[in-house]
Amino acid sequence: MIRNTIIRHYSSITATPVISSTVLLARNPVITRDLPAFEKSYYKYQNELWKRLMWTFPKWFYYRGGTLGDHRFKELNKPPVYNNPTMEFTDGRPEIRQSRDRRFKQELRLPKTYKQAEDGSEIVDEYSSDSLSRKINPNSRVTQADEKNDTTSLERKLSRSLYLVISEDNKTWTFPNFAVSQEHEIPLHKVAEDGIYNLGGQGLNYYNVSSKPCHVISSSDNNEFFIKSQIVSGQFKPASSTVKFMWLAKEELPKYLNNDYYNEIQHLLNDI
Amino acid sequence: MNRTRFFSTVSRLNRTGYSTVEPVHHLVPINKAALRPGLQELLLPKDDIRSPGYKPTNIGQDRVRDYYDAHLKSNLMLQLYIHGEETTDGNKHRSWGTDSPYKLYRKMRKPKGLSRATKDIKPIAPKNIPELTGININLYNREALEDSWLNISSRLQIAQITNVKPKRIFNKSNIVQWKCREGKPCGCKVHLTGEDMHQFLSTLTELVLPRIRTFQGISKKSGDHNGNISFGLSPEDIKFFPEIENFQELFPNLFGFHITLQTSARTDEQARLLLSSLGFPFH
Amino acid sequence: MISNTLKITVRTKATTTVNPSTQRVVNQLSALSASRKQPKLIKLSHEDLIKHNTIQNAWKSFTRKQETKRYQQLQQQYESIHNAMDTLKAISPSLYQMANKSDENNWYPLNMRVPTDYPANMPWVYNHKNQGKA
Repeated sequence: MIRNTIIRHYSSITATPVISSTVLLARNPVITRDLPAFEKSYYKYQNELWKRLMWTFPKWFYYRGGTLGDHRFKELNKPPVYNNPTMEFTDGRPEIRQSRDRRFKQELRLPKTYKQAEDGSEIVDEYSSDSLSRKINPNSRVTQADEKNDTTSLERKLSRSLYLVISEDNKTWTFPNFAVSQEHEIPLHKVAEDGIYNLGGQGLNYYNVSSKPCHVISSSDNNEFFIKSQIVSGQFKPASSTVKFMWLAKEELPKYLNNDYYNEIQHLLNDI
Repeated sequence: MNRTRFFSTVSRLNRTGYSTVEPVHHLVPINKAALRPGLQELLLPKDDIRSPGYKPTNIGQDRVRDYYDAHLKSNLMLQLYIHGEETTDGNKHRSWGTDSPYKLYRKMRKPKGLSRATKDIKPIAPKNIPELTGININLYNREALEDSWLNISSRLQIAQITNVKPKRIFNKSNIVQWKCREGKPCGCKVHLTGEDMHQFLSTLTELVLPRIRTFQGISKKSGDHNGNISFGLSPEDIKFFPEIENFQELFPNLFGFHITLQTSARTDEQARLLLSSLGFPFH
Repeated sequence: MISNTLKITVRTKATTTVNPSTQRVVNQLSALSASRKQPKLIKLSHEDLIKHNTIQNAWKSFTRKQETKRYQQLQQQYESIHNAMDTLKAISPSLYQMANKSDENNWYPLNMRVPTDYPANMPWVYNHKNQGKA
């Protein structure tokens, strides 16, 4: 049943292959995973505890007295309220050590290496674009491919593993599958490598994880072995225009793959 | 006058207030001052927030751990799997024989060929996939033998780089021509685990090693046959650590150190595969 | 009479000058040592302590569940590998011979990296020319 719907052969040298090799070509995540709310709040809680229990910043070590850096540091960091013996404190007496109230976490503001406007934004001058002291603005975790939902792009869903699926008729989608010829004894992973290369991997830099198959789907006349491989750089460009391809995350695969087939292999796919 | 000696029971019995309870002689000396209630909080485990030694863990997302758990583990299992593999016995200490009591009680014979025993190599399974268990940094400061204040610099340097306060190490023997005296501080060491280890690892593989021009990779010959790989960094390489690089005037004296990457791999080959997956080059 | 013997001592800044290199070592030692840098111990009320412990227990059970899930997946993958190799051995012993070797020396390429928090300016490297392959 599975065999009829899913197994496709892209090399038609052998009529009835007994063994075939399927490539699980994955793109590993480029950025870290998105944190669920629970993890995020736990990390924040632990981080606050950690800051509370941190040692006092040795200011005298980094900003020696009398230097320009010291002056800038003092401008940004006002000393805490001093323990005046004649004064009453409603929330406990301050315990000042090294100009830090040791009852609380130390909040530090360090002098910036770039010029700053009043509202905190950076003043950009013409030299600052590649200077080391410029302000670091991280790129967005959401790319253009995400917005367009371009499934052929490798820049979509940067925080997830993507898997290559192909189709010849734009209806049935499968992982690339290649028959192993009976006459020439070529190892499974080599068949998979050559297959991907001929299919459209001329500009593809990949890392073949292992020569061993990681799974087999056996039926009466076919044994489909799965070979793990990972794309490192480059891209997949099909040699013939009839072949369509997509890079899909794990939860998108059931929409395109046969249901039984997906359930059979879903433990091979990375959740992240 | 015939004086009785102190341990004579007669004189004790004649004394008033003699206790018939035999005194208890502790074989283990007990410091009763340490049992006082004020010190009870020191008995709390260090992961208890009431303990003075409490240090919060999991202070942020650990990307190296995430990557290892989600991607590398299953890859490594596939790569190191060998079908039909059985346990290979390690090179162990050997018995001298059992035909005489002398041989029975004699210290075990050294392992064949090697001076150190190796562990059994078990076939790979989900529970014994190699992982990085710790990073050991060892800095032997020869200059501190003459100017002992230089050891402060080396300890601060390691503390800055690793975020962990290092322990001092001391000379163990007297060697006159090297000016070694027993008990003299001569450097520091630190053992990193968990987040500190991952932080150090990513600094090393992403910021430091790529910028060392002469660095081709960790030597393939390095390893202790038990899955621990070592290499060294010279004082010039230390400059590339961002904690040092931006404050070079504060660290006029830099010292090289040895790094041992401790893995739970059974062989060095397996350890090298694991480390290459974490971004270390080998040559 | 007493006023003659008692002297009022005013504590002033030490005027002894140390040379800069000594001062640097002193600074280094003070940056390293814990003295006067440690914060106050956290004293939680009974209720806060219970809250804290609840958070820690929730985290422990969360991570334990995740670990169990990951371990089960690995176990499934292991059985898959084992099963695949068994099948391959039965069907084609020669292919099995070629496949069944350890990939200890199949090192990972250096441009495979640990994911970062934010993408690079060019998230993906497209230009690659295959030379040795196929």
